[in-house]
Amino acid sequence: MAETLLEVSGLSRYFTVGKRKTLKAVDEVSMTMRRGETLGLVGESGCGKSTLGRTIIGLYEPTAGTVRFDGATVTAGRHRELALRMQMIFQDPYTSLNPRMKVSDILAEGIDNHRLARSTADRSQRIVDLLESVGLSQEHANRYPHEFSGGQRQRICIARALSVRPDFIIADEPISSLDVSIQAQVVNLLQDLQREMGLTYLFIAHDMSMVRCISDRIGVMYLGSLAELASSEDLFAKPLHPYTRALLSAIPIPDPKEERGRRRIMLKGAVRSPIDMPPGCKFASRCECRKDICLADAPRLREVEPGHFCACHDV
Amino acid sequence: MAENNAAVLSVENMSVSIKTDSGIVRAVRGVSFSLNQGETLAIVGESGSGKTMTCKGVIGLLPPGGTIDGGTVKLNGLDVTHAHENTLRHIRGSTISMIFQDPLTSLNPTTPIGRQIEEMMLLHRPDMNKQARKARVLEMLDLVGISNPHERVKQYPHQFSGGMRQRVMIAIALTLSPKMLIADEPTTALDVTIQAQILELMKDIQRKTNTAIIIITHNLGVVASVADHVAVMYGGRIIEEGNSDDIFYRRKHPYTQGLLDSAPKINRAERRLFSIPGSPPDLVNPPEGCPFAARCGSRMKVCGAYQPPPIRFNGEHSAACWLYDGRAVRKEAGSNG
Amino acid sequence: MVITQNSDQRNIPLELFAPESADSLEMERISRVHQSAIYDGWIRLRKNKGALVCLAVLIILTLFAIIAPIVSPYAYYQTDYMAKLNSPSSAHLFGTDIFGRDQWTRVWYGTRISLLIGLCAAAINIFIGVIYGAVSALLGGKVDAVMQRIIEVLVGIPSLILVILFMMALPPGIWTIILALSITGWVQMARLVRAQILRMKNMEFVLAARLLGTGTWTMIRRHLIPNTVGVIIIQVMFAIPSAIFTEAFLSFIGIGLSEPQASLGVLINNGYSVLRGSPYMLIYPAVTIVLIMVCFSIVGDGLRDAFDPRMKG
Repeated sequence: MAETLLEVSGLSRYFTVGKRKTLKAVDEVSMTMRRGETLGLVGESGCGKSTLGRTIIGLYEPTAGTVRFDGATVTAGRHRELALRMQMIFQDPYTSLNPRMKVSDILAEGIDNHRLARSTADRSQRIVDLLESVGLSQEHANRYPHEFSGGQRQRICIARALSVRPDFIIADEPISSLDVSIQAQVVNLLQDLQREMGLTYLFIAHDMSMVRCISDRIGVMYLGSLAELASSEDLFAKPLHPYTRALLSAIPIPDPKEERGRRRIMLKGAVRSPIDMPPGCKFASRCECRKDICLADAPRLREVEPGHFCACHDV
Repeated sequence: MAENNAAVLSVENMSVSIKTDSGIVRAVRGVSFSLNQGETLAIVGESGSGKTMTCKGVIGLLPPGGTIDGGTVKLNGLDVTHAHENTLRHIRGSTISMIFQDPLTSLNPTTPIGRQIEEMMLLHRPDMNKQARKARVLEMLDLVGISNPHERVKQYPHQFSGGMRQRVMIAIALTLSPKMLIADEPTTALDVTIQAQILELMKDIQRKTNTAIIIITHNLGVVASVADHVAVMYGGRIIEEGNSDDIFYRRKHPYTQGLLDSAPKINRAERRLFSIPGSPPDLVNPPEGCPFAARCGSRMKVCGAYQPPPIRFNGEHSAACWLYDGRAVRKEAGSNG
Repeated sequence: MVITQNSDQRNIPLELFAPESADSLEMERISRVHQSAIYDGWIRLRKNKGALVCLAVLIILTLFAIIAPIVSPYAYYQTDYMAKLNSPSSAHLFGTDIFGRDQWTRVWYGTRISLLIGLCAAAINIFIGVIYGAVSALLGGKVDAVMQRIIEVLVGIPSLILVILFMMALPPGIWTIILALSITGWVQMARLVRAQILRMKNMEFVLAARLLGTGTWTMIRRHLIPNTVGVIIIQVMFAIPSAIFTEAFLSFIGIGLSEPQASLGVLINNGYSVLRGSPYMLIYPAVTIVLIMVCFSIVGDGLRDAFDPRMKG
């Protein structure tokens, strides 16, 4: 359990926008993940959580910092070697399947690329097994993606990611475009597969309540940096960062009685633009407990309590 | 809530169908509901359940190929189902308005927002002079909580953040003080912290102006925080309706039960979610009986063959499910009360 | 409880109220009929009556162009000085020209040559354009920048001048015309393909394939080209009539094909000189070329409507 699988240190990914302007999509993020755990990554749109995921898996070259996976440094673009270790599930099940390919060919792509099947019979058996592992059946193999519903497509995407038997899966908002009852199907499926195959997940989402169900630990990102990182229980029981507190209080609860008696922390002030950001804490513009130091100096992520990290001058 | 009990909107047995390449989609199949001044109705359902088409039918903005096949829609006592397009155009904006999920595509990118708010008055209120219109624009921006209205009227939509754009949309929708506002997933495209602000704003405006609101959403948390009444739609039909407490604490229909059970609760740690197996029905060939029958855990033979009638429990709470028919063998009914 | 029922619902037999277990496979069943994307597009094209009629006209014209010169008793170059400028009759359906050649045979032979030039030019355009566009989009960076500048230079020179210079430098003939039409014809195709591939390069299904270790060549063959086919086909439907028209124009101004070969442009040129006395010399080839142009355009439009928008969700 304690074995470290992924180690991200000082990882940054900048984009140049316009003339000599820099967008710091990911700004010096460091974290580690143990084998078999699920780390949930939450934050608002544009906070860099997807960019972080894509940089970890080598789709983007990091501007600074390193990603080490199972002891070896990950080099961007070397997907042929990485494929058997890391896979990704994307947000939109409509654009993540090639509309011109049959489901069987989609699932066989990884198997063919790495010559995992011993024979044609073995290849088709693997496809059937994959379909069954995500609750579909052989009769779906010869159909095209547009014949499936959103939830079914997302399950095909999961099957495709599993086809090369990876250890580590980055799920980039896999449920946010699905309906509530279908979200639960997909989350439960991911949990079942994790138990059966010993997978490690980086689960990116913006829905805190779903993340809570699936994650062992949760990282909260704000404008490219980790604001807080703690175990699920700790984060919900005693959130330390003012942003996490505001975020938790803003989530509507499906229970009218509780909703009526609830006090929300309403954030005032505008979200800072991530382009050419001034020094200081990125959340300072909206923070309730802002001090002078927050505008001058950016807080570093530090271990406030055992296993509970927070980047705030106030705690 | 206001004691004014005249129904602003009453919909009787409305059906909507849409012609597409893959056939005629029976998007709405006989829905009835009504709404009073100052109240909020939430229509809940998954994508394809017909919730958006219900509202587009009400406001007369169906997509190309879409028609109202049957039923009546009465707005303020006036039947708009067969009204002329000119009448409808007059009603839209002055009696009923709608805001959409994505504020960026609903705003004109080349016109300053002040001008866009003013346009509503130019179209509908020729009696207002320039000063009166300008004053109203500033008043509206102030109402929706946009600071520095004097400067911001001259700005373009791209200079506003997502939450601010939705505020502008609300300002435009409410300029002519309509009796009713339809909000189609108004916060889905927004971040959680911004969503909380917009919901708060809508409640606040309703207190001030006594507008009736229909909010379409799939987020049950949003429903719990704003709705007085809830209608749950599935497969083009309202399968359960009642006040907020009926739906959340005394729900009857197996689909409503499943829907609420599958939503994770932020205030409770649970490792396993309840999930409804299967997928929603295809409304090109809608199922004969109850639309939920194929996925229902307490299904009976009758469910696949006959559409259940709405069964009234108390007050306004009713559910369309054969389990509550006297002839049903009671097994699991009401287990989630 | 208040139950409002109609008589139909009151008469439901009681045994139907027994519980029934749900079938999990039934829940995942797909109710729509199995159909491929191509079939879907064909269904949509079939609804477009205008495009269908034009497609039929094109097929008929092509068949005539292939068969008519073969079964005709006259050869296209066969002169008969006894029958100069005859009006249409049962012996010569479209009449004869100033050398007594059978106009019916020459019109269909000319259609054949014009279609051949159009098809070959379009084929070369696809070949160069698709490869150029794909390479430019996939390699990106500096290579892309240089390749795009080359295209801009080519677009900057009026293509007609380039084509005319080329025609004057090389011996006249069909292949010279086809080559001349191909010097600049592929540019539009290259641009379209590049734009389409750039758009797709960052789509999630392409990223997913990269993450599965799919190589560049397989990526092009399996993911990028199949999803560009729609754009390519539509562009071809516009490129063919454009090539036919340019050839006709060149022949009309006298630098196209030379006698006794005939293309529609040559025939129109010949007909133009005897317009006063024998208008049929001009009318038949002119009507044929107009039919070809209009039909290709309408079929191209129909194909775009049927295949281009992203398939239904």
